[in-house]
Parts: sequence; C-alpha cells; structure tokens
Amino acid sequence: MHELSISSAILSTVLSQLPADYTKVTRIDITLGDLSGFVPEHVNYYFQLLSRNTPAQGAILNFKYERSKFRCTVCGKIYERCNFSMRCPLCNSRGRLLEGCTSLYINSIEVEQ
Amino acid sequence: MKIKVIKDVLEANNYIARKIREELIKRQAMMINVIGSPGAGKTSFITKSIEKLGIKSVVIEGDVASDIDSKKVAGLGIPVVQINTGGGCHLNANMIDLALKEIDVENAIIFVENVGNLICPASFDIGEDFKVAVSSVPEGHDKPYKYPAVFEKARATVLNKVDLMKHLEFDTESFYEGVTALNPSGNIFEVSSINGDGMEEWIKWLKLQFTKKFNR
Repeated sequence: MHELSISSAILSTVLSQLPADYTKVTRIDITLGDLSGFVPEHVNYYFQLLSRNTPAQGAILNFKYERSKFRCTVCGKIYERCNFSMRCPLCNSRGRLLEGCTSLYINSIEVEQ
Repeated sequence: MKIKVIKDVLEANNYIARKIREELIKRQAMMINVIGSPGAGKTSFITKSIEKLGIKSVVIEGDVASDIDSKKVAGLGIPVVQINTGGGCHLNANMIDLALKEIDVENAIIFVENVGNLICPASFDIGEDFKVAVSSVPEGHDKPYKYPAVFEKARATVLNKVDLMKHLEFDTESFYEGVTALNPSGNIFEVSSINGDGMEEWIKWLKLQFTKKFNR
C-alpha cells in the first residue's frame, strides 16, 4: 500500500507541469527500478483513483522497468537476476550487484488542449 | 504535446531528508534507520545496543499502532518518541522531522525503529546516516533473495537470534551469499540480543561510524 503516497506524488508533480492552456494529461512516462520497492500495477491502481476529476483522469501510466545488473565473480558475465537465484546463469558462480536500480522518476508527460 | 519532466517522484520526501541531515550535523548526532520484519527482534536489538554502547542514545519508535515498544524502551530509562503511522507501512522523512522536534538531544545516536516490514521502509529516505537491516534466524535464510532492496541499501546487516541457530535449519552460507551479492561492501553481524553474543563486534563497528562522522 506504500504506492499510495507515490501515486499521490506523481499526480501532484504532473499537475504542476501542466501548461496553463492545456486541460488534459493523456500519458505519463515513468522509469522504475526493480529495487525501488514499488509495483507498477499498484502505482497505477492508486493513480487512477486519485486522479478522478482532475486533468489527469484516465491518463495512461507507461512504465519503463529497469532491472538491476549483476557481474559474475568468476567468468565476468553481466546478467540480470533470474528468479530466486543471484548466481551467474552461465557458470553458476556467485555474482555481485553491479548496478542496483532504485530509481523512480517521471520522464515526460503528454498533454492535450 | 510531449513535455520533458525528469523529476524524482520522491523529491518532496528527499528534500525533508536532506534538511534532517543538516539538523543532525548541527546537533552532532548520528541517526540509524533500523529496518526488519515484525518479530525480527528490532526493539531488543536496539535496547541491547544502547545498553552496551556507552554513548548517549535516544529512540524513535515507529509502529502502525500501540506504544508497546516505546514503553519497553522507556522502562529502561532510554528517551523515546513514539510515532504511530495509523496504518501506514513505513516512516517517511516528514514523520521523523516532527519527531526530532520533540527530542532535545546533542552528541547522541538516534535509533529509529521503522515499522516492522522488509519492503516499504527500504524505499523511503528518512534522513538517516545509514540503514541497518535486521533479519533473524527463525525467519529463514532466504530473506535477501525475497526482499533484496533493504539488503542492498543497508550499510550493515544484522542476523539476530543466533542463539536459536542450533534448533533450526538455517543455511548461513546461503544467507551470506545473498547479502554479499547485493551489497559487497556491507557488513554482516551475527548477534543474539538476548544473551549478548556477537554484540561486541557490532558495537565496535557502530562506535567507529559515530567517531568517523564527526572526526571525534
């Protein structure tokens, strides 16, 4: 349920960016990392509730989901985690997190008059 | 028409968190965000740490409801402020900002016991110096695999209730592998908050963080 505050923050940010002569937000592009701790479906669910009777009602939330990268400590392969394991999919050796994706930001919005 | 925005969704929270860090520097204080599941032993770990620390400490208790933990802490003579989130699953920077106004303390360590939850608290910066993930033996060794974010973000991971290890099938190697995969530079401490096993090493490390922050 912690997505509620996130959806609220997205809505207020988007509305603050709406130019004066535009009346409707139709699409919001959001980048979300797999270590951000937020679930896109839940963000969208709360957003659709919160945005009722605002210029963002009905806007499509388009998520670009970023996946963290690991590097194998033996063969050096860079990979994304597969299911439960964090081991290398090639040689099954231990991996180390190379790039943790914790981001959550709005890239752009599309608006109509 | 498309408008470029590029805005961090958590910007409002993070702004307050930055202000809190400034306030902590003014007060010569260090704040630790203790995160773990309900029942991981966070309260016992905090009180045992304070007992052994020998540095002035205060506690901010975060719970959905009740003052059970804060009474336990206050009963030991430790100053404590209770935050009830009223259903909220994590503490945010604004709540800590308000709690700090109730604490008149300098040259101290502030322990924040976040709401018992391994998911949501990991996502919110509360202005802490660092996060500490508390996991316990009865929860199982799979926690880093199931809840990676908190282990990735914590400067230290505490494996609590090691006194129960002999009664349970806990795969220590798998636990360490998961934590170090996510956080190669993180520190792992095995402790028992009940009998005090392993606390010396943790306390030594914690004191070092406090010393390093202000070049004491």
